[in-house]
Amino acid sequence: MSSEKRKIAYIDGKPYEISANHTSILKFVKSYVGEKKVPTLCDDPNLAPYGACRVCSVEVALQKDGPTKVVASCHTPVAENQHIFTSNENLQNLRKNIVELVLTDHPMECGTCEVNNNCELQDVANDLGISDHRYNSPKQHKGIPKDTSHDYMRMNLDNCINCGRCVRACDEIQGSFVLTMSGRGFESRITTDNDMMFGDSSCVSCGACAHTCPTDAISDVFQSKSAAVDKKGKNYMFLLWSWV
Amino acid sequence: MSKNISNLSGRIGLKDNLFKKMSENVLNNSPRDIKEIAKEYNLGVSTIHGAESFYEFLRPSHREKKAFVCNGSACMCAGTQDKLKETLKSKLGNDKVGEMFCLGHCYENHAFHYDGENYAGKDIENIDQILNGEVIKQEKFFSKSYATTSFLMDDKLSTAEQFKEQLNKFLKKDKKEIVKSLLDSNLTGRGGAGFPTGMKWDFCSKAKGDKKYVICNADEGDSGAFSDRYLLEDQPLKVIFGMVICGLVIGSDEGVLYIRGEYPKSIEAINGCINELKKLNLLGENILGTDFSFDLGICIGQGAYICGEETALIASIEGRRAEVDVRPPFPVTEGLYKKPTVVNNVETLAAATGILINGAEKFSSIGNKKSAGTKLVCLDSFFNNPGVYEINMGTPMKKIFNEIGGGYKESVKAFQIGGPLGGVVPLKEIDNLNLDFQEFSSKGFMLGHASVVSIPKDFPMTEYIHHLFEFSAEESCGKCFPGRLGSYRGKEMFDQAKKKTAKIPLKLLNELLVTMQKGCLCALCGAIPTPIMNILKYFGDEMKSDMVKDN
Ligand SMILES: Cc1cc2nc3c(=O)[nH]c(=O)nc-3n(C[C@H](O)[C@H](O)[C@H](O)COP(=O)(O)O)c2cc1C
Ligand code: SF4
Ligand code: SF4
Ligand code: SF4
Ligand code: FES
Repeated sequence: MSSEKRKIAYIDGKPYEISANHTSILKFVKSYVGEKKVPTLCDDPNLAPYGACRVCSVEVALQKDGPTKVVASCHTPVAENQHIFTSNENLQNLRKNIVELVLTDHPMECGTCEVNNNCELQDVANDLGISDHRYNSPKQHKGIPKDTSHDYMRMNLDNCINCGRCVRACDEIQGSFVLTMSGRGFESRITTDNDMMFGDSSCVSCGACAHTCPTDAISDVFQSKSAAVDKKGKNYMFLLWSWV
Repeated sequence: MSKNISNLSGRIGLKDNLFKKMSENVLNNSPRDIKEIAKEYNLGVSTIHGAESFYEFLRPSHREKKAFVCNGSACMCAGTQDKLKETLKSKLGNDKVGEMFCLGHCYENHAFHYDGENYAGKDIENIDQILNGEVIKQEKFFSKSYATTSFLMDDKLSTAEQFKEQLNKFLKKDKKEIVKSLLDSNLTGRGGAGFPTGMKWDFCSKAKGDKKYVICNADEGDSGAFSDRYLLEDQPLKVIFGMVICGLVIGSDEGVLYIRGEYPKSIEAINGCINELKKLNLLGENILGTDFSFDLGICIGQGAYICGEETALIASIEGRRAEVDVRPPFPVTEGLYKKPTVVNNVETLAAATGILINGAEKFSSIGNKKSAGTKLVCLDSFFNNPGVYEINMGTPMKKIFNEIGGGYKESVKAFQIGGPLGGVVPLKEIDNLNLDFQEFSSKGFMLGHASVVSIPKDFPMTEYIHHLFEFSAEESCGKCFPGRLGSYRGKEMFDQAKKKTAKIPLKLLNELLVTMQKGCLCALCGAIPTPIMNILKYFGDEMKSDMVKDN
């Protein structure tokens, strides 16, 4: 390939080549500077970009030392000569403030949670150094009964962060429409079919939702997302996925 | 964004679209089980349930009410609604009176909705006749053009005959010439984002697609604005003509007007026009014997401000939840049912018509390149001459308020210009502003749709901010984290301040506002910080006793 055809963009000042599989700034950044450089919550590389959590925000300038703009990296295309900044103080503050808002509506009982030490929210919050929030008596959605009606799947919506990954996995990966968000705004929440119990719903037990869920809001009877449960359980669940 | 749902819904198509089907079903006296509808279209029950539960008007809590008082910013500032609510409650029962956000009667207030009609001003005096089902005589808004050339208010396109004559002319025109006219006119979108209209049509005409759509965004939800309502009711042919020509240019044979349900008269007016034009073969198959066909329909909004945002609007028609989608792809390449689509505001389409009829130079010679032509401006009831006016871009705001508006009926301290997401401009700053998009933005405000809500001198600004946060908390689609959570937490801060249970933590509030402004996916929760920051900047002193600095 001739050298003038190569397209370059800059990550924190260093030049990198843009290739065809860099369909977003996030993919570009991850491929060169690692998975953890930019945090994500609603992104799953197997699902279409969604842009809900906004913790993947980066700053972009169209030229060196030009004015920057904050964009969500997961759904913003990477373009030639872009200067991408992945973690300056403004961005860290933005991410902290967003995760803080998430924690205003989260039980924060990691010690007793099934996915303790294997939770994306926990990781992102830890990396940002956030463990608490400053808001005065925020209304929470705590106390939603756990749904254990399903033979395999488990739902614990107290821990749901409304990232929509389960809904998209059910639709995009499984080709089913079992899960949906319902309501709107602060009152929006995950449900199955026409507000059914999980076990009575049209679910075909493929496990795609549990697999992508970043918390333990959707998991399974095998506790396959638990860091504490042995490998056997995880393999078992994997069999179940490939079986459907 | 669900490609699967878009594609499945696309099979049903626009004429019988899923959104219409779903809302008509819910509003029906004996609705079908949504499982049947889902089965008919190979969709999930969850898809329909998820979408249905999104809309205010489709919720049981809304449907069991009979009358709805307007809770828009203009009626709130006018202070007319408490008494109105009491009167309606005494007639209909305490639990029968709900609320709706802005009925577009900001020039007379006392606005309420009853049994499919809007009432305002002195109408409440005839409440017994209204409840009896009698048709009462209602006052209309005042409208007048002060423009050098009127593009939006003249009568050059007020009869079907004129429509036919103009259409005949443009059917013969080269499409490239039409696009060039729009480009030369410097017309930019009037719906908020300000994208050059000629460029939008050009992109879409070049986009590949076996089917294309034209959408008229008539979801005008901004409190203070009734300019789109004016056009839909008094200049409907201009709006429709703009859509037909857009269809001709981009190669589309089908369009839809998404009109908010809060505007029953607009729906009626447009419906009447469409039917008439269809009869005259000015819409439909092979228009005037040419090979150009263009059909037009209406979608009725069901109470969700976010449906004014173009990707949410498209999702809504498709029967998906009206959540904002990521861009790219942009609607011009992947819009309704994933087909190339032009989404234009009502006023943009009417202006395009005005430009094509009067000539591009006349438009571009007014104002400047980025704020060209004329603009409708709405003045609320605090002005001596409330109404909707067509005004040259670049006109000093002082002139608009004092001469055209005739000054104020009572003391005002600020104006919210450009709807709930627009800036709050203090009275003294009006002298330094012209009607110009860029000028407003550079001073930290936003001209937007150019609606004006006056804030009277004695109105507490803490309460105004509460109103703004409450609005974004109510209307946020809930998709993005800073929007869904931030709006609600902001509302809670001001709930607590209003009830005097806690003071507003200023540092945290500022961080929250920056987070929403920088982080949000769209300009609903992302721009609500604009007016709030304006108020904190210009009226912070007034709110000192409600605040604590550190937290
Ligand atoms: C929260 C939100 C609400 C909006 N509401 C409206 C609206 O009511 N009417 C409108 O025409 N555009 C509205 N817009 C802008 C549309 O997304 C879109 O830009 C516009 O319809 C494009 O038409 P134009 O190019 O003619 O302006 C809104 C945007 C946002 C972010
Ligand atoms: S397990 Fe059920 S709900 Fe989850 S993705 Fe599969 S079909 Fe959908
Ligand atoms: S259940 Fe899990 S995947 Fe689904 S929205 Fe909640 S946190 Fe996200
Ligand atoms: S800013 Fe508000 S309305 Fe816009 S996507 Fe986010 S939550 Fe939805
Ligand atoms: S990962 Fe980009 S918005 Fe969530």
